[in-house]
Amino acid sequence: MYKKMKKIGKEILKEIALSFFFCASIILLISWLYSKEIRFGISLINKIAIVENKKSQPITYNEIKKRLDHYPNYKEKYGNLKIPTINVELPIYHGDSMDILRYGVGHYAGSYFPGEGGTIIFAGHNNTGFFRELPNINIEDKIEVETLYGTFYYQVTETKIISESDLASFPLQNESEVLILYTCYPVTSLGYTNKRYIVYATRIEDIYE
Amino acid sequence: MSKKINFVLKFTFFFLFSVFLLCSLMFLFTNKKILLQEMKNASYFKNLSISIKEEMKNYMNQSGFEEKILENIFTEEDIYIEIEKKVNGIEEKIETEKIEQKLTNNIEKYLQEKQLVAEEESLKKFANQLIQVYQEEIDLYQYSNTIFYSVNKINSYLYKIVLGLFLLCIILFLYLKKKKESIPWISISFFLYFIVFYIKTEIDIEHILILHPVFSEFLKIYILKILEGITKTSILLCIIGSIFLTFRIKKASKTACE
Repeated sequence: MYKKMKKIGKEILKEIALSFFFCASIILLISWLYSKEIRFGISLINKIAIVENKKSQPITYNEIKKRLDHYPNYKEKYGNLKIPTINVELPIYHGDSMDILRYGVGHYAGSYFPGEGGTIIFAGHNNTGFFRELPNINIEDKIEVETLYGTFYYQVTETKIISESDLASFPLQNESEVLILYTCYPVTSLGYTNKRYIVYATRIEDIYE
Repeated sequence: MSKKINFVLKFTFFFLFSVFLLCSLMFLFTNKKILLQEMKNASYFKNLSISIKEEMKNYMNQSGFEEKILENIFTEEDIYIEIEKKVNGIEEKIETEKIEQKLTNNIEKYLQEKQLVAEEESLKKFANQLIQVYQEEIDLYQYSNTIFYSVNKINSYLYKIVLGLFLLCIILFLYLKKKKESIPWISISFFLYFIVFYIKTEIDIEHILILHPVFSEFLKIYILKILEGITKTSILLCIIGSIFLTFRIKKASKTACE
């Protein structure tokens, strides 16, 4: 009986060991032959197709360098825009794609952030609750940009109507802090409009901070 | 047949049969009909329809129109027809006349209701924006033809490979003449399960985002379904192997008794 059991046990072990051996051999063979290609393929997939759930880091402002140490994620709300004279109070999001503009003011991702000393570009829709009243803004009106890392104040210096293709009206520079707000014009138009109403404001930190 | 040759043949059979199974599964999953059916099962057309509407709504705020002008301008069926053409490799432009007509009618109706007047040029540009959204979303930003063309090409290659491997496996199986052989079946089962395990460990399938969120969602479901198919095959082979192993044990016990 013992001998019988021993033989059966041996048979089972032999079968399973051989199965493992076959399997391991083929895996080793493939990994030896195509290791580089497999690694490259997987890293490529992970880079181009996998979105990690990025945890947003606290947005901090470095006063010495005059720039942010950590930037908000794309589509993340990071502040509020307030223009008391025309009753505007809107959330500010990083990025200015059409889906962002449905919910508030969009910060053009290629421009500077408030406090960084350069051109900041904010876009908003021209309907009620957004920038409908923007053409009623006056020179010297105050604009408040309240962010997660500080509050910044600006004063309107100029307004104008431009063509949508007039990119020269949005100069990206870092010599002085200029806030640019713009919306589609005329604000009461229906359908597509190729004009933009644009507001320039400069930072007045000395007075308000 | 010497033991060594038998061993090499078993090994070759195991390798070829594993590749045959993997290729067969891929062949099935790249089949046009199955692909369309799986798209339907994963609610791809419904989700794409919702996504197109949402994207169009992004243009409503700036236009001064209300969202009701988007009502019934296209259906899930319209999207299905367009994607079916693409899956079948028919390189035709996306049909936009119907949607353009319905959109124009809705806009005119809205203007009449509200007694508003708008410039024809502005309306035309606005309608074109919405139609472009419809085209881009269906066309996966111009990549759909490339994707489905590649899938069809892979499928036709796989057909030849599967056929060739099937014949080779049959020949080897008959040559081995060991129908109650358990090793190859269990080995294949281990190997297939290892592939699934490796892919799931190395690739974060849940977070795939490529081209379009709705397409990515479908891709995620489809990849998981393929892996599920491989896992099920692996379990089935393990069961077959275990049955054959039982036969071997019985035979061994019989020999031991004698």
